This record gives sequence, C-alpha cells and structure tokens, in this order.
Amino acid sequence: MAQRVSAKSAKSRRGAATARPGGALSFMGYRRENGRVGVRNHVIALPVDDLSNAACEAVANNIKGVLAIPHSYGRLQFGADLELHFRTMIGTGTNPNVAAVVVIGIEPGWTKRIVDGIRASGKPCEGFAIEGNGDLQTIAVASRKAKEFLQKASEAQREACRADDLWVAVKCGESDTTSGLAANPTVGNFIDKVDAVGMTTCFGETSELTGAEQVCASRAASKEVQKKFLKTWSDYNEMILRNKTNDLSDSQPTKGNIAGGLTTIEEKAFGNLEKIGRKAKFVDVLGDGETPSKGPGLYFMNTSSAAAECVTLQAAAGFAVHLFPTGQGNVIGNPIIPVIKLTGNPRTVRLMSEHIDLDVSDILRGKMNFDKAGDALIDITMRVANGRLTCAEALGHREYTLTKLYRSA
Amino acid sequence: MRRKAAHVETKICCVQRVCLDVNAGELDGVGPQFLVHNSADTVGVIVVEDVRKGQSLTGLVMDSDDTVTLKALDDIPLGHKIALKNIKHNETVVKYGHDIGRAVAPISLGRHVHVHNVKTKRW
Repeated sequence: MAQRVSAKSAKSRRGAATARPGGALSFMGYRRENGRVGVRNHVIALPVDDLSNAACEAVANNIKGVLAIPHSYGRLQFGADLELHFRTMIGTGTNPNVAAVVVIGIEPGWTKRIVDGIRASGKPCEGFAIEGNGDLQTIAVASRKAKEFLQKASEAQREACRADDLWVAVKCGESDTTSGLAANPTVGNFIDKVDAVGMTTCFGETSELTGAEQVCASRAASKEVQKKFLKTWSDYNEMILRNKTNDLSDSQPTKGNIAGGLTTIEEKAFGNLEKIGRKAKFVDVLGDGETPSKGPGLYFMNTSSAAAECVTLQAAAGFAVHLFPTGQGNVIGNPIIPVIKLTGNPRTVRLMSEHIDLDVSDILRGKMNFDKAGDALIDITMRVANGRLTCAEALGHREYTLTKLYRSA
Repeated sequence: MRRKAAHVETKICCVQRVCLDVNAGELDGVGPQFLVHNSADTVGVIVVEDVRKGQSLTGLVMDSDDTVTLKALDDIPLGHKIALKNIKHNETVVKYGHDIGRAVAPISLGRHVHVHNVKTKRW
C-alpha cells in the first residue's frame, strides 16, 4: 500500500549512503595475469579490421564457446582516430572479462601492434594475417590456437575478490523523465555507496551534460580536474555547434526521449547527472577508452552519448560490469561485459520485462526510497559479478560499436 | 527592487499556491499522480498512465515531502510534465531547481509542458 513518505524519509531518499566495509561486497571473480579481476571468462576472436570479420566469425563457428567481435573499421585510419582504434582493440582484448585472444588482420603490421598491446597485460594472445594465406588457411591455424586457448580458459577458477577489485561503468539510454526520478538516482545511490568502499567507477556522455556542465564541474575532486572537464565539455560542444544544422531536437534529446516526456537537452542533462549521486567526486577526466590510472574512485570519460559507442569505450578502458538505467527501454548489451538494466518506468516494466534486470518503479509510487533501491542495485550487481547472466546476455545483445573521430584517409 | 522582491516571493510561494487542498492523508492508498524534484520547480512529472483533462491530481515534492494538488487542463501521458504555475512567454522553466529551457508560449497552471511550448536555450 502506498504511503505518504515522511520528511525523515525524504532525507534518506536524497542522500543517506551508508558506508559498508569492503568485505560485505565480496564476489567470486577471475583474477588475470595483470592483477585485474574479471566477472566473465571469454575467449575472443578479434578482427583488426572490417575485412577480417568473416575469418573471426568462422573461427568462432569452428570452436564452440569462442566469441567473434565483428566491427566496421580499421582501414586507412590515421592520427588520433587511428590511435583510438588501437586503444579500443587493445583495451577490448585486455579487459579482465577476457581470458585469451585470437587476433586476425588483413596484414601483419597492425595485427602485430594489437597483439603486442594485449600481450603487455600478460594475457595469452596470438595474431594471424590473411594476406598470402587466404581465409581458409588463416581460419584453420587460428581455430587450432583458439581451441587451445578455450580449453585452457575453461579450467580457470573463480576466487574470492573484494569490492575494490570491481570496476563498474554507468551510462543511461532511451531515458525519459522517470530516469531522472528513479533509475538514475538509484545508480547515484549505488555510486555513493561503492565509492566509499574503494570501487572504481566511470560515467561519460559529454554532450549529454550540456546545461548541467557547471553543476557537473562542481563535482570534480580538484580545480585541475574541474578545468580539464570544462575544456573537454567545451571542445565537444564546439564540435556540435560547428556541425549542427538545427537545434538537434531530432537527435539529442532522441525521439524516444521526447516520446517519454523529456523536452530539452538541459532537462536530460540534469536527469543524467543523477547517476553520480550526491557525494562522490570524480578524480580524473579520461580520454575515449583510456584506462584509469589514479587509483580507486569515480572517473569521467569523454564519450559520445550513443549507448553502444559509450559502453564499448568503457569496456575498452577495463570496466568489467555496466549499469544501464533506461526509461523507454533501450535494449543494449555488450559482447564482453554484462550490462545490467534498470528502469523506473512502470509501462516499460510491463511491456518489456525481458530486458529489465531491476525494476525500481516503486519509487514513483512512493513505496521505495533511493537507499533501498541502491541496495537492490548493489545486490543484483554482485549476483551478476558472481556469474548470473543479465537479460542482455540471455537475449544475445552484443553491440560493439567503435567511436570514429573523423573520416579515414 | 520591488519587481525583484515580487519575483522572489512568486518563487517561494509557487508550491504553496497550488497547494490549497493540502491534505496529509491525500496519498494514502493511491500514491502520487505526479512528482516534483525540487520546491523551486515550476513543472512536475506525471507518474501514472492516462491522466485526463479536468482530472484532479495529487503530487509529491520530493525534497520537502509537501503534497500538492491541482487540476490537469490537458490529457498528459506518463512521464510528461505539468505546469505548477502560470508560466509567461520567454520565462525560464525550472526543474531539478535548475534552468531547463524557456517557454515559447504562455503556459497556464495545469497544462501539458513539452516541445510545443518549451525550447532549449543551448542549441
């Protein structure tokens, strides 16, 4: 039965994040060669370029349990865009949810660069080039190596790990006004609680902070980080102003956002910012796909606000679990990291339940506060870290989308 | 000076003004039909399906736990906004206690607030 929430619980709804000892958030994970902890044990077939997708898919078809990660780029890129491509490929292979990697490229040069980058983490990785061999011979030798990697990985055992071993990224999508009222502040409550026990977390979506950028900047841990954030936001906004042909009302907010009641980018931005809670300060500003290097804490990453682009970059940076609040029902997943979906929209819960890992619509009914919702999110996150498959994993959502900074040469 | 004072008063009183039917027991058993993030907000969010024109609604202000009631002047879908005061053309619309855009038409208390009467100030 709904009850009028007392003034006392209004306070707890807003802010009370109870610090817990790190041990209370323990989970069973896979500790990798570089010390990082994964929650999945994938062996992947990673193409260097679009031309090598078919060979990677053939390897995954031959060796049951190997996962191919096809994508659209990797040819004639240059400068910062090429660096981002390598960072994303190497980061994907290095992610602790990945046990071993077979890399296939059209030629040996860039293939070797990616193999060397992944091997720097100590992870088993082997590269194969198609030119001079053809698809069939490449697939045969790569399949033998993939089989060896897979059988070895299948013997890996989970071990007890602590909260500060877990890296969790957040991003919202197909948001509506219920996102800002319920699902996003639930993630915010999670962030405040796990920040207190040394978890490493990350939010992004640079353009989607427009209107709330000053409030976001005030959450930086130092003046230096604040300055770096505002420069990053401002550069992104200038790119939008340079290229826009209208007020972006067909793109940002999206058609789905508008159908769900969001009217302006400013409104969307304040709802988005609810995801970082009330207490945590962000300790650094990361470039696209850049791995955190300042220890535990909350990080901001410069990303697009498109769901798959953002999640792909966060996974490449090494985040092992993703929290994805949605309003209207974004169905995104990722090939290597579990994406946990939550919503406060009762209609989405009713019509799209197969996509929703956590229902927080009781917040809208005044029956659940943020503290309770945040605890429920911690609970499902730890269950997923222990091995429970997310809705997106069960449904086969493996969106892997590269961020491209400009046209290829 | 006088105008400024009047503005401040409007802001402080806006919740009280729509709050004429405050009743502590209003939400018992039914839950709010709309939620307001912040006491300074000039819009609330409908959180139930099928709000009809003429319907009396009860809302909850989340940062103060005040209960407010008003009458919807439009059909308003789940997740869409309702005006908590009369908003003038070009006036800033406030949600989360912050500026979320400007009214591009006058909006009466109880009306549907969305892309037809509010625009971004940014892009």
